[in-house]
Parts: sequence; C-alpha cells; structure tokens
Amino acid sequence: MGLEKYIAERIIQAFFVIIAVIIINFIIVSAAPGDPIQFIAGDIAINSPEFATYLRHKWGLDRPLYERIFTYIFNIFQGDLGYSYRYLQPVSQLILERLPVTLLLMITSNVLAFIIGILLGLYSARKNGSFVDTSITSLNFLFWSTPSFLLGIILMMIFGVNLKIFPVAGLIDVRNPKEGFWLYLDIVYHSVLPIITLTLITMPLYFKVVRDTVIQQSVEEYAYMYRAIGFNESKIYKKVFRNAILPPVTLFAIHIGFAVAGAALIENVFGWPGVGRLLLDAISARDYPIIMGIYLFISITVVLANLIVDILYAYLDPRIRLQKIS
Amino acid sequence: MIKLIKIPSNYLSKLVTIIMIILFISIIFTVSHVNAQSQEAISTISCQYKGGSLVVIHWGDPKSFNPDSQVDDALFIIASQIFNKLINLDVNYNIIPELATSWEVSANASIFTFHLAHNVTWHDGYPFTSKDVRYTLESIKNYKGVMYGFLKMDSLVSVQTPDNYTIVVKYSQPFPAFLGFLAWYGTFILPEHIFNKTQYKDWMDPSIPALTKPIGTGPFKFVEYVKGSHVVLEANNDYFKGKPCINRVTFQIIPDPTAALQAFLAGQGDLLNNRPPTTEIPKINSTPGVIVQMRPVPSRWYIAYNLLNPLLSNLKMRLAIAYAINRTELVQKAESGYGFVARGMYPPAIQWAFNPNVILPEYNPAKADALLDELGYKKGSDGYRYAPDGTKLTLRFTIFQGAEAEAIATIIKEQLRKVGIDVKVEVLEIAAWENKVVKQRDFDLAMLDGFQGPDPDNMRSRFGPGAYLNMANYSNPVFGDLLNKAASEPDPQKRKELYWKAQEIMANDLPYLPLVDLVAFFIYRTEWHGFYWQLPGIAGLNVLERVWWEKGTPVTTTTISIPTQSTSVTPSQVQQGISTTMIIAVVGVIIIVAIILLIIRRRGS
Amino acid sequence: MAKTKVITIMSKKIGIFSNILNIIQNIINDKYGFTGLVILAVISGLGILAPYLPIPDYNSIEFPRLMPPSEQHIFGTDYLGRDIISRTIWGARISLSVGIVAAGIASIIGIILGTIAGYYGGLLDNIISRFTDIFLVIPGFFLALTIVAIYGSNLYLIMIIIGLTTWPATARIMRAQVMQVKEFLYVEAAKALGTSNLRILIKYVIPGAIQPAIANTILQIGNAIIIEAGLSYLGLGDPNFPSWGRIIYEGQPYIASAWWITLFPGIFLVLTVLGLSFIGDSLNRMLTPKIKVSTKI
Repeated sequence: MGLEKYIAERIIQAFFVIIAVIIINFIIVSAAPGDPIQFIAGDIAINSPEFATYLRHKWGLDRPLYERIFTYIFNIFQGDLGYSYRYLQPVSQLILERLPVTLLLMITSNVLAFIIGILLGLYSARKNGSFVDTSITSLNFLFWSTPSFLLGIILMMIFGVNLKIFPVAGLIDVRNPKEGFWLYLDIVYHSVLPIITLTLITMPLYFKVVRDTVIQQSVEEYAYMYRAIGFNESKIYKKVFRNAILPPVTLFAIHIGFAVAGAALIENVFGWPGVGRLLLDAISARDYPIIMGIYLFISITVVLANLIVDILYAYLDPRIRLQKIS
Repeated sequence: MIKLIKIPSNYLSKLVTIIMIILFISIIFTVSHVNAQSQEAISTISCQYKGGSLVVIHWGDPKSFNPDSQVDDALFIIASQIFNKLINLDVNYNIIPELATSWEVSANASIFTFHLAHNVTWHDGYPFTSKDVRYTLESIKNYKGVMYGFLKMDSLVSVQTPDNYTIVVKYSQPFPAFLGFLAWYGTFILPEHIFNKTQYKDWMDPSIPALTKPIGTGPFKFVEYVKGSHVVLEANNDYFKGKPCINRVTFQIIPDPTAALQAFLAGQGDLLNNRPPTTEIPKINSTPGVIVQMRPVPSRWYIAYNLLNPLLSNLKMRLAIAYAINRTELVQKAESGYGFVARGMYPPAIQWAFNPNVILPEYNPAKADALLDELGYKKGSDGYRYAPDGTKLTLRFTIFQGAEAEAIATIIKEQLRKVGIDVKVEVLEIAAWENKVVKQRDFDLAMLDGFQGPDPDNMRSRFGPGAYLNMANYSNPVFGDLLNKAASEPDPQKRKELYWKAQEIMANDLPYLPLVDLVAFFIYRTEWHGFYWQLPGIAGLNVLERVWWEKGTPVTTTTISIPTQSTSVTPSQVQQGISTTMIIAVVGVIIIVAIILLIIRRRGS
Repeated sequence: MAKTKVITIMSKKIGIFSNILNIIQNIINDKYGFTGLVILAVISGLGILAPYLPIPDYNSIEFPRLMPPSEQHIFGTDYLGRDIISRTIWGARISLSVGIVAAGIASIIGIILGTIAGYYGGLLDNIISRFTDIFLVIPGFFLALTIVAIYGSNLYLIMIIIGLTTWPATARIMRAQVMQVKEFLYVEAAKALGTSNLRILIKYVIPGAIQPAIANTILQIGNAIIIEAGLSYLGLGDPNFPSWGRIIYEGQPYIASAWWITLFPGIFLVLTVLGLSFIGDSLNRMLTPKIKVSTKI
C-alpha cells in the first residue's frame, strides 16, 4: 500500500526530471554560437547560401525552437534519438554500437572495484588504527585524488611502453586479427590496463564507505549490546557486515548509471572506441545530435539507477517509506 | 585540402597539408609551362616479394566514404587506396596519369580532353567508363562538392563523353590551373552505376550503400570499418595497374599523438600517419628498424592582423610586431629545428610563383621599441606599454587548438612581452575558431597554417578582397586586380609577372605576416618499401599501391603461388567478441548482486 | 546526537571563532587531517610566496629546452625552455584559485538552495529538489566541456562553469542537515519568540547545519582541481596560465622522453587533492557518532 504509492511518486518524479533534462540539453546545445550547418557542410555552405538553406531545411534547423524541442521529445519516445550529421547514422545506432565496449570497461572495473574495495574495507576496518589500516587507507585516498587520465597515462607508460607487458593502445591487434576464442582473449589482453586504471580510481569509493560504515556500526549500540550478551567478535562482525553492505550496493547502482560517462577519458587515453570517446569526438566536431543523444542516454540511465536504488531502499528499510508518507 | 580554407590542428592534417603543398608546387611548375601534356605510360605493378599486411597508425575517423562531398582529411589517405582520380600528383607535385592515361589541353587552356584507361573495373566487377567521370564532375557542380570553388564550377560549360573512354571538359574562360586542382583533392572518381539513381536525393543520401561500404577502382578494396578503431582494406586483384604486392592495409585509428607514437614504436604499426612532436624525431630515427625521412613542404604558419582594429590599421604597429618576432627562435623551439624561417609572401616551394625579391621584416627588437615609442606607447614599470590615456597595450592572439600552434603562440607572446606588448592567447577549438575569426572577424591577431598551393591562384581565396579566408580584411584594389587578371591569363610568363607584383604589394601592406615554413615527416619501418615518396613520377601522393614487404615470399619466375594471410576480421566477429566478453562480465555481476540480495534478505528475517 | 549538537551550538553562542578553533584542534588530532593540513599549508605557502621565491620567471623561454632535472633546474625544463619548478609553484596559485573559486561558487549556491529547501519544505522544497536532481543527472564534466569547447578556454569561465555544475552535492547535504537542525528546541523557541525567519536562518540554522557542507566544499576544491585538469588534458585549458592541468597537458607529448614535465605538476596535483581529501574527510568524521560514544562513556 504505502510502498506502491511511494514507487509511483518516484517514477513520476523521474519522468519529469528526464523531460527537464532533455529540454535543458536542447537549449544549451542549440544556444551555442556558430551555425551548426557549417559543421555539416563545411565551407560549401559559406560559398553557397542556397545549399545552406537546403541543408537547414533538410535537418529541420529552420523551425522555431519550441517546435524542434517538441519534435525531439516526440521522437525520443519512439526510440529516435536523432541523426548524426557526420556519420549519417541514427544516434541510437551509434550509441548501441559502442556501448558494449564502454560497458566492458565500466562494469568489469566497477565489479572489481566493488569487490576489492569491500574486501579491503572490511579488512581495514577490522584492523582499525593499525599500520596496515593506515597504509591501505592512505593508498586509497591517493588513488582517489589522482585524475583518471593521469593514472592511465602513467600505467600506459610503465607497463605498455617501458615494460612492454601490455599493449599500449587499441581494442584489438589489427595486425594479426584473431578469431573466435583468441579474439576474446585479445580484447581481454588489451583491456587489462584500462580496466586496472578504472578499478584503482573507483575502488576508494567503495573502500571508504564500507570501512566507515563498519567502524561506525561496530560502535553502535547494538554492537555493544551483542558484546554484553556475550556474542563473540566475529559473529558481531557478520551482523555488522550485513548492515554495512547496503551503502556500497547503492553506490554501485548509482555509479553504473554514470558508467557511460565515467570511462570517457580512459577511452581517450587508450584509444578505445566507446561511447565516452564518441561523446568527446562529437563535442569537438559539434555533432549536436550525438551530444544530445548521449547526454540523454546518460541522464536516463542515472535517473533509472537512482530510481531503482530508492525503491530498493524503500523496500528494505521500512522507516523510509513510512517517513515519506507521514 | 582543408589547409586552403581552415587548418585543423591535428598533426596529420599538417602532414597532409605539407604533402599537398609539395604537390602543388610541382603542379604549378608543370601546369603553367606546358600546353599539351606529355604523359608517361602507367607502369604496371611488379613485385619482388608478395604478401604482407601493412598497418598504418592513423590520426582520425573518416566522416563518411564520399571523399568529394566535404572536407574530410581523415578520409583522404584511406580514399586514396579505394578510389582513383583522373590524374594524380606525385611527391614532387608533378602530374602523373591515373585513370586518364593521356590528355590534351587547348591553346587557351579552356578545353581539356582526357583519354581513359581501358581495362578498369569497379570493385564490384562493373566496368569503368567515361560515364563515371562525367557523373563525378557534374556532381561536384550540382551538389557543391569540396572542390566546387577551386574547380571553378561556375564557369564549367560542359562535360562530354564522345565515347566510353574519352572525356572533354569545357570551361567558359581560360583555366590554367585546372589540371593541378583536378589532381589534388576531392576529385576521386565515383561509381555512377551505384550513385546515380533517381531515388537518391543527392550523393550523400543516407540510403546509398556505398557511403558506408565504398566501391572504387583503386588498388585496395574496402573490407570493414569499426568506428573509432580501424579500417581494413584488402588488395584488389583486378586493379588495372596490376595486383598490389601486399595483401592488406589496415588503418588503426589512434587520435592521441603520444599514444600513436608509442603504439608505432611498440611495433603495432608500420607507417605512422599521426605527426609526432618534433622533439621525438631524433629518438624515432634512432630506433632500430625505423626510418624518418623529411621533405620541406609549402605549408606555412602565418599571422593575420585584423586591419579593422584601429591599433592594427596602422602599418607602423604591424611592423613593430613583425620586428619583435624572432622567427628563428620559432623554428628552433616550436619545430625543434625541423622547419624554415618563412621567406617572401608566398611559399618558396612553388618556385616559379615565388618572388624572392620580397623581403620580410627581420628580427630587430630595437626597431620595434623605436616604432612603439614613436606611436606614443610608453613602457610602464611593469614592462608593458601604455597609451597616453593610460590603457595598456593588449592584443588578443586567437589560435586554434593544437600543440604546435600553442607552442608558437606562447613563444610569440613572450617575444612581444619583451617589447612591452601584452598578448592574451585565446585558444579555440577549430570550428569555434573558424566561426569567430574567419566568419565574425572578431580578433586582433590570429594565426593559422595551411598550404597555399597548388596554384598561386590560391592567393585569391586566401588574401583577395572579399575572400572568405581573408580574415585580415585586406582590400587593396590593385592587389585584387592583379590576382583576377592572373587567374585567367594563359601565358605563363605573364602570369608569373602578375603574381610577383602582387607579392610586392602585399609585402608593402603587410596585412599578413608569414612565420614558419614547415617540413613533412615520413616515418615507417625499414622492412617496407615502395612508398610514394620513394617513387617520384610513378606513385601518386598517399597511394600505397606499390608497397611491398621484404619479409614476404620472394617472387621467382616459375612459381606463382602467393601466401595469403587472408583472415579478414568481419565486423560481426569483433562485435561478437566484445559482446561475449561483456556478457560474461554482466553474468558475473548478476550473480554477485543475487548473492548480496540473498544476504540482505536473510538479515531482514 | 541531540546532546552533541546542543554542545556544539552552545559553543557557537560563545563565538564562531572558538568553534573554528575547536574544529581545527580536532583535525590536528586526527592523523589524516593533520597530514592534510601540513600538505596544504606547504603547497599553498609555496604558492602564496611564489613571487618572492628565488625561482626564475615562469614564462621565460630563455633556458635550454627539455633539460632533465638538474641543479639549475630542479624539476627540469619544458619543450619551450621554461623552468618547471617555477611553473609548478606558480601553478599552485592558479590551480588552488580555480579550485577555491569554483568550490566557493558551488558552495554558495548549494548552501542557499539547500537551506531554503530544507527549512521551508513543501512546494519550495519539491521544486528545488527536482532542480537539484536534474543537475545531478546531467554529467557535469561533459557539460563543462561542451561549454568551454564552444565559448573558449578562459580561466574565469572555467572557474564559473565548474562552480555552476558542482553545486548539487552541497545542496543535498545542506538540505538534509537543515531539515534536522530546524527541529531543535532552540529554533522552535526562537520562532515562538517571534524572531524573523531570516534571523533564525542566519543565526541558528545555517551555522548549526553548515559543517558537513563545509567539509563537502573542501572536497569540492579538490574535485574542481581535477575537473580543470581533465579539461586541460583535452586541450581546453587556458594557455595563458600554468595551471597544473595545463602543464601536464603540455608535457604529455613528451612523456616518453621528458617525463619530468608531466610528473612534477602531477605529483603536486595529487598531493594537493589528497591533502584536501584528508581534511574534508576528517571534518566529516567529526560529525559521526564516534563522538557520541566518547561523550556517553
């Protein structure tokens, strides 16, 4: 009863947020100086005003702003995210083509960061205050403070160029393209450095949350109570773990929402053809349909991720949904 | 091509620019002196070794596979393998035959007749005829192709096909530079039987299959293109000049110059088509198995003074700035010595048109100081000059993104600081730069590079009154007149005199200040041979048709067997590979999440 | 919880000053916070004193190019012949300024919006929260990137844009805190006495709720520095100023041979953000129930 109402509320809110994001995106991008026609047609448009008019009409750029926004939103609900001037392909197709690459990087690194972060967090929390704890925590802070591209460049230089353990850049070895099983292996081989970079950057997030929660929980009242009752430390620890697991899971879900954007700089450094790279290229080339399409895509995934997290929380924690209703 | 109009700051574009310029220089040289062209017979490809798969480290993704419809520098080298032009330029900018084996030019240079090769087929087997050439030229006119202006399509009277292997192009006026432009850019011959269908609106209609899977007549056929990753081509066994010696050409797309260089040095590529920082050149050259060759090219960096700006409309101010700039330092620091101080108002590489008597202001900071004092700007305590009314002498220096441009701009900023001028460097991404500087003319000083070939007629598009690229707003009617006359002057000697005079005038007015003449690098592995720069008179610019690999199978007179490494990776395989790996990862995630939820569920009970 | 807050707020009545001292004392006691303060003090000290230090002109291109670290040039020189240690130290001024201004802008917007949403609740809260959600959902880095790519890489523009895209986090935190603080007895009391809302906000609510927001702002400084570095890496930094991101960008083509150009500003950047993270984290942890434990037993 209360739960359904809460979920319905949140879904409606999410819907409006998405619409608002679309409109804001559209306005910002359209308000940019420079005639987008120029980026399509180059200097031909300059030399020939008739051609420019023809193109403008073709891409519907001569219509008023509100009409274009409306058409755009209408199209989105039909799955049409627009058409790229440069690639001559639908934006949705371009995104879907590159999505597997980005997801490979982001999901793998997030999962690894999740697991390693949590394990380290638990371990570190247990040894709270010790030298080991301080070292691991400081190291995590260090990775957190490093820009992703800088870490990527450093790893590329050390392992790719100097030690020659891993390939420097690219998705596959184009010189000797492999097939079947060896192809997967080749991709995995090329993905090691980017994934390690992303994992190291993301891991501190989970580490910190888990460690802090565990430390906090273990000094909560119920932990003292358990101790007073006589439970031994490790049993208490298990209960603490169960409480502590929720925040990182929430974080994970939210982070996945940003999956697409997160890997962009890494894709640039290592030359991987993912969605992030597509976005960066599109920004350089003023390919507005792609830019808007990807922003929209990111926004929708983030909103959905947030929605799922909120619902999950509400389901698991009765306090929240009761509070919302009162 | 784009160099003529705007110059993207990529390293590759510089390379292409440089190459272009070199080409044009020779074209100009040849075109203007001869009325009836002599042609060398096209030599067929003969191989000492067969086999091999060449990997080119390339700087960017092509925009589409129509090389004539828009400026697409990343496509150019790829298109040069898939398509042919009628005529091409070799490394010395001499015109060499391609699809046209011979040609004649009328005495007044307004009618051009080409005789086409007979045994040419498209990659899909269809025969090549004059219809294809006609379609291409007419499309450039009708759909406003890249070369519309340069090929003077406004004055094109007709393109006739008296028979399947003859093409006659008629202009309404003399057009001495026609052959040079035709051999240059955006003139690849397209397959009429694919493009010319009534259901297509134009040659960029998205439903044309050839836009994503191009069909050409060139030495290599299109296999696949994975966006952002690579383009694969394989040898065309029916190529009209003979079968290429190598089996495959792959362009691996790595935009970042550092990553590209590292990938190349690590052995991932054989030819580096992404200009590295000039400081790395000695290191690259000393890498075993790698060679760096260089050629001076007629591409130059130059400054544009915005003549509409009251400060800069005064010639003394422009001279002062010119005297303050040490161009030798620019070459040493920004190009690591791989370059030349610019001479004259037109690149010396185009020898006949270059007027060596025109001298640019030499580095002389004392003169600069004197002029600035004269103009009433006194040096303040902070070292910068102030006008009598107290305003600081500040100029915006607007450039586009790119390591080279930024380096030059930073050095100039320092050099002008020494004489008390405050320079604010404004870096814009190339499209924004073009919009602000070229279109809106909203700048004080701007800088760009670019070749000014193939023909000095290019000066009209760059510096002529009312020209799109004339961002300085230079309008000297005498200058404009000279350029107009020279454009349609069939007599080469008279043309030369007109252009020489124009350069004198421009040097006196100094609306633009040339800085540095550039050098092109050819970086490749020594086990590969047959590159176009090694085959003047035979191989066209960028064309890899004659490349061979010394580790291939030697060709003896008896055996004809050719080893083929013909595992071509189809798009579906790569996609599959990624998808499968991803699916495994996703499954792993789901399992983990399920476990966690189970734990949570237990805790709840 | 309530007890701790009352103690803190009581001491605020004594004076914001002593409260700040209290906080700083707590930070110093915490080993991470202390480390962070030391790092920050050293680096910002270097930055502030930059004009007086015996280092060469950071713009001068007089020196030999691409020299490895040596006695004359402790961090070496770059491809134009500029001294790296000088640029790095001046870079501290630039990068820290960008960070502080951007985080400051984000902070002010976030605090104002968060306070209004948390205090007044209802429709106002709804609207502001939706607004915050929208901005949280738009990928801030790319938005900043697009705007800078279009309008040009001006340092001031970059500061403002980063500020305008990173305020949501602070807003959310502030809102949550304000929602708690407004329930406190003394606030109710002030209301009953007829004090105007504005006075209540300024005197009681904001000071009571602001600590986590301040902690977040400090973290945002680090975040802003990283965002600026990211923009510079893509070539969109302001070339007139040697921010650390800009120096890294300039050194990147030479990284295989002249690694020092990228490494040293990189180290400074990471250390600075590390220091800020330590301090911000320390502030955050001061508010956790660990304090509760110590007051209880």
